[in-house]
Amino acid sequence: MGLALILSTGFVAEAQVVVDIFGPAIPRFPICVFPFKAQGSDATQGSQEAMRILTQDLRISGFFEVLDPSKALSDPFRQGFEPKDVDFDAIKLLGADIVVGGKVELEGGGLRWEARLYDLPQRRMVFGKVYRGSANDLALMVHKFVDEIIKYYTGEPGIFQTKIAFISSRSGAKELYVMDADGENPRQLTQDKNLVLSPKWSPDGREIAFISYVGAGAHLFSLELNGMRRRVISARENMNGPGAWSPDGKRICTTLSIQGNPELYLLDTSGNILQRLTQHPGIDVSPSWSPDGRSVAFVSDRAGGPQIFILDVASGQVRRLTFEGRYNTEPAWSPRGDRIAFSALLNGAHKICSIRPDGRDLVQLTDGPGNDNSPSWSPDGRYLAFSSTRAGGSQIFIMLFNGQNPVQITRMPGEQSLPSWSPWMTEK
Amino acid sequence: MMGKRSLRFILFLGLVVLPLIGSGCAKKAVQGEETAVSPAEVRPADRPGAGLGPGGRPLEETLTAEERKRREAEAAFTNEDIHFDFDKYDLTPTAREILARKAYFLKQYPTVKILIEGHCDERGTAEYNLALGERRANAAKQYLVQLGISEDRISTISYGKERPLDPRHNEEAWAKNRRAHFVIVSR
Repeated sequence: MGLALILSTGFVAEAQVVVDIFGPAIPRFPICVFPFKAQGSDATQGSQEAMRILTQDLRISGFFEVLDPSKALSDPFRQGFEPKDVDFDAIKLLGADIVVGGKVELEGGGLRWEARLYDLPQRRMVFGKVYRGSANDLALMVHKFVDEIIKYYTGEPGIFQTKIAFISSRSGAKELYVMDADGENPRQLTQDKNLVLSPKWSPDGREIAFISYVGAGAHLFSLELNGMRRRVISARENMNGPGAWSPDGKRICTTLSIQGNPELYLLDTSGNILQRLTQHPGIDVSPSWSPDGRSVAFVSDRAGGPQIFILDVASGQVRRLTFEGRYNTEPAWSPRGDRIAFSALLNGAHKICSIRPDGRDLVQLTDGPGNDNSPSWSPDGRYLAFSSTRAGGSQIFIMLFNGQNPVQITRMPGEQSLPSWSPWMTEK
Repeated sequence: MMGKRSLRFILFLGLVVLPLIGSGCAKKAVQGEETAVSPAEVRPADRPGAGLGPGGRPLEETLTAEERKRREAEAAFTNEDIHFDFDKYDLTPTAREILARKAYFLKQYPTVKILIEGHCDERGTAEYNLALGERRANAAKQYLVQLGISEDRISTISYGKERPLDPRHNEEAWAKNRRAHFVIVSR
């Protein structure tokens, strides 16, 4: 798609209220999005799609209360979109602090979307953008715009230009898929027609490691997204994977069972064994690196049932992290370093919890019906993706780091599971 | 230790060897072989690769008694899973009996190579269950090795919770699904 143009706003960086979303209360800014004016009937579909995705993303972000534009006294943009033309009086009773308006038109076989953000109490335009691209790029255009809005109000950009890899059984077999962080544009990446599990992004966002049963065994592969080239990381006897990339991208921590017992090993990215990390007759699986690359959280049954442990990579020292409950698995270390999310078996169902790496402050993040599994952090540590059976079949959800605002982002047939959130795909 | 071992041996004799011998000599099977297969038709099937009898008749009719017996033994070998307790990979006494029968089969047919699949019920989490299934398959393998089967005849794979035998969501289904399944990969 074409580059976004910034519309001149006459806006000087004034005192901008940026709130700390990791503070005690997460703000929810009241916002109202008006339908984008379609210039010509051919643009109607684009206009409706932009409206749908923008509204959806604002809801998913958790920072906005999205208000109904039909409650406006009249169309505030009937005279145009320049601040002097906007009828702020028509919308002053909506309760919104933020208003979005704009238009969509067809241009040279593609779309031109102009979107503006207004501060209602101050009756001014905060910023405006023009995006150009093909109709297929519309979701990406909206994601860029939403990320700007979130950056303006929270000080850090949104995550809507990142991706989530996951496993879906939609085709009949479990295969690797990738989608936008809001669930748009799901795309099937493997056609192995057997069983694919445990996708994990490389920290540069270029590759996804995963387990596939495509050949004679369960082997660890990596798929380069640019060109879709696949390579084998480990095809040793017995277990190979799941594999977790170290934060510097130079090593992969994975489970191998070459001695007949699942142990953690450190591989280089070609799959050569650098080091054996665990020495224990029990199960050692599901590694997740601390962002400083010094520690690995993992699951072991060395204390009886499955619990989460932390390994100091340099010394090999292992300490137990979780003590409450009998079945704690699927650790995911936050990219901010301050928490480890995991799934815990509570009253017969799996729920997402998080705990500090020192073992303090255990918090249950999800509740209600069904199983919640496989937490994966967004690269900013503000969100968790997870799978849940709360709505029937297994689907992918995302929620804020503290469990607020869970939103279902897949609605696909079959079972959606094992989400893995990508790193930043663009410059922040 | 001594007591345990001899008990195991008696169990082996009583529960495994005797019934096997018994079934091998069962009257029905012998009669079936005699009536279905005439001596002239027997020989071609002895040669490897002989798929059809004279006149293009299906293989089943040309089986030798030996081959028939072998197929029954193979079916018994692959049809019987061993089962595990929830979140466990140690072998139950019943599982050991079944494995002893499997070891007997593998000794009878020393060219056979097998794959042991480890499986779990749906209740745990995917990756931990992969490792648990791996441990289950390996526990079965190690016991067969203890019973004298060469390690290089046995490979293992874990399917975790991904291939339930019984798709229902209840105790009965879960018990069936926590299993090691045995596949003959070459004869």
